[in-house]
Amino acid sequence: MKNKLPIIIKREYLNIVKKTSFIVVTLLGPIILASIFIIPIYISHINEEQISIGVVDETGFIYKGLQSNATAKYTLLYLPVDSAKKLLDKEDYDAILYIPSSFINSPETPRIWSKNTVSQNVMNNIESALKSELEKHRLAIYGINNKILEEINADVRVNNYTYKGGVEKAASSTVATISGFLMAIIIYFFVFMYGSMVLRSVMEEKLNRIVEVIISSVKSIHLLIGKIVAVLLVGLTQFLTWIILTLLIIIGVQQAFPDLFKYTEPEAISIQTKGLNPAEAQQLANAAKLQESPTNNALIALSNINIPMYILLFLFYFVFGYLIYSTLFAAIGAAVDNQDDTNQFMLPITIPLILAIISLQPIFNNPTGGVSIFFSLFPFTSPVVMMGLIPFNPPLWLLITSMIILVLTFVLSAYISAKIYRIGILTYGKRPSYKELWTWIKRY
Amino acid sequence: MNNAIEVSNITKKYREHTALDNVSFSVPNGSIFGILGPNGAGKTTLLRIINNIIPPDSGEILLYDEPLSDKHMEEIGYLPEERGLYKKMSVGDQVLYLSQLKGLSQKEAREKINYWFDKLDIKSWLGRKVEELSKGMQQKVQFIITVLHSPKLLIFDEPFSGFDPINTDILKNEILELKDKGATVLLSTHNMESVEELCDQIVLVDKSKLLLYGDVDDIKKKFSKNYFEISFADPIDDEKILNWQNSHSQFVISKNEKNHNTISISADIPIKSSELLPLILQLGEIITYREQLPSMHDIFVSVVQQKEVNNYEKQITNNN
Repeated sequence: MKNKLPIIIKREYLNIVKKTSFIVVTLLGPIILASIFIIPIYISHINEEQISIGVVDETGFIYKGLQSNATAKYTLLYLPVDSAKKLLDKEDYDAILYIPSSFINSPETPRIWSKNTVSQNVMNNIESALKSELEKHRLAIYGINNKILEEINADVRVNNYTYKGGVEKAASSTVATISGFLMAIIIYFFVFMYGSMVLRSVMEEKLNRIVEVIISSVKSIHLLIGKIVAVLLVGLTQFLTWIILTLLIIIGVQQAFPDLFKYTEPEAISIQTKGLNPAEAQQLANAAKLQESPTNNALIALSNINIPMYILLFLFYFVFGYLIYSTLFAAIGAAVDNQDDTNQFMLPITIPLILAIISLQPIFNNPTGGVSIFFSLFPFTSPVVMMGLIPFNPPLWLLITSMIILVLTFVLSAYISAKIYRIGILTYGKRPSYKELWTWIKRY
Repeated sequence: MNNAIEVSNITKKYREHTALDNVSFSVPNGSIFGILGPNGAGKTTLLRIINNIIPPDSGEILLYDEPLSDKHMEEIGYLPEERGLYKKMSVGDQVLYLSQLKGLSQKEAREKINYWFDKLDIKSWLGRKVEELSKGMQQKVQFIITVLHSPKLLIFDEPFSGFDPINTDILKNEILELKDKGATVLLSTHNMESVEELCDQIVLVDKSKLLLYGDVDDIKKKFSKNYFEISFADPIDDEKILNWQNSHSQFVISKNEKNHNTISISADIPIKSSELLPLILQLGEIITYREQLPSMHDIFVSVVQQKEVNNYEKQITNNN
């Protein structure tokens, strides 16, 4: 007897790949993925329009803290506040800031009137300027000199490096958290999406009543394997298309707007001690700013992630996570014959997946804690949680144990699924109870 | 090799009930074999076991003298009672797919698809999606799928359901033609008329047990009610009949209400025509003389109901 598996895989594969919905999602995916990379960078380069703010300062000195910048231009008005407000009706000012004389004692009193809502960015600037000016004033009351204050003031920043076997690398827990989340969510999404595809395909054949014709030609287990492998191939096809298209889009945008993605080398700074002249101080500030720039930070940390390793692990956890869930989903699809019953059986096996997503935040806060270890070993959560943890460099033993447990669980779920599938696809009518499913599993 | 299928002592139990209880029979090669029985009698289970879809709990099936195994899958064409097609797939694509699953190469399959769709004059359906076809049209496609790979053994479960009389006749003729070409046909149906027309042998299954098994003709003779219909050249007057009845009290004679040329005669004991004929010659000139055999319909009903009566009596005796 010829091996029929390739024939089944081919049909199941083409059946999904030829669907319009599949083609749309496959083509839209990369656009969405690419925007995740490009939009934040783009936004950071857009300049807000400068708004003009008239300042009425009854204290007579607080306004000094307000420095005009790219987002706001401050003009001191020598008018009573009521007349100043009227200026809003003309085109001269976008907003009027009012600092009453009571501000010195009760810092909650300033107000701003504006034509449109003032952006958070500008509000933050105003608040911090007023705050530092008020603090200066209060220090002066206690007789503390401004110069002394500047010398006391220390700008502290700790840089994180990983150190392994003598190799030092810049690390960023922000980048780790973000890429961990991203990976975990992609796995969750893929496992769910492709698992449901298997479920739908099994249910379709059962409800169409075509399944009996097919299993009079091939063994039911071959049909099941064919389906699961076909959807896996669909997943890998989609995954590959997404990676290639996303890279093409990003490279395309990078070529079109080279300035957006440039890594800007910070200027070398040799001056170490106090006594800077103003030019040197400016230089130092610029360099520090540059190093803080989110683009640079992310680019450094990303370049330190082992991408091939990441992809291999991703494939492993995706493939086995998918295999476990798709075999169980197939068993559910075979056991029931309507959507309501499906949901009832789906719930218990999808809860762990959802739980895994919810617990990501606490797990990232304590990547080596007991909860993290449990969730990264428990096979129904490990694909999601482990993928999330990989940017935090989990210990090797944990990784390997988690992988072994995952593979063993797959063997078990495949066995259970094959048993339920074989009987389920020919059983119509009442939804089987768990007890009944158990007798199906035990039956020869 | 005389038998296409030999079923020996097949038993299949589900959790709550027994579907088949020690069932044995054999299907001669090249015959059309009917499997009859009321709903829920275990017919579908039997057909699934012969198709190697589910295993029996005990007993053995021989197909062409070999124990049933996976390799037989390609030699069987099975049209299940619960049948369907992929709704979104074109007719041509799915016939091609299913025949490849039966072991045909693409080339062979395409040739045969052309042959069959031509033969049934439905070639224009090949590019259409199944959801665009009526139920009867789908049934035709399913029939083609069953026979396309020219299997030695054909198993039809309720093949006529959903067909109009014209298509039923087309299907019957196709089945007879397949038989002439040497195929063995297993036919499970509630359409008793088609059983009489097509089947050489039958089994009757009820409540998991085999109640009847044999040649259709033999079974009919066995269930004969000793009932004869005779028509004469001239009408028979009532007095003649009364006189005849009085002198032959072992028979019951009655006149057809509508046609006064025709009478019927029945008896409680088997009647030999050689004995009856001379006796009725006295009544007039005979035009036709015919023994009325019971229809399969009558046999089916009487066997299944009789068994229920027996069971009922047994129950009462047990209770007493």
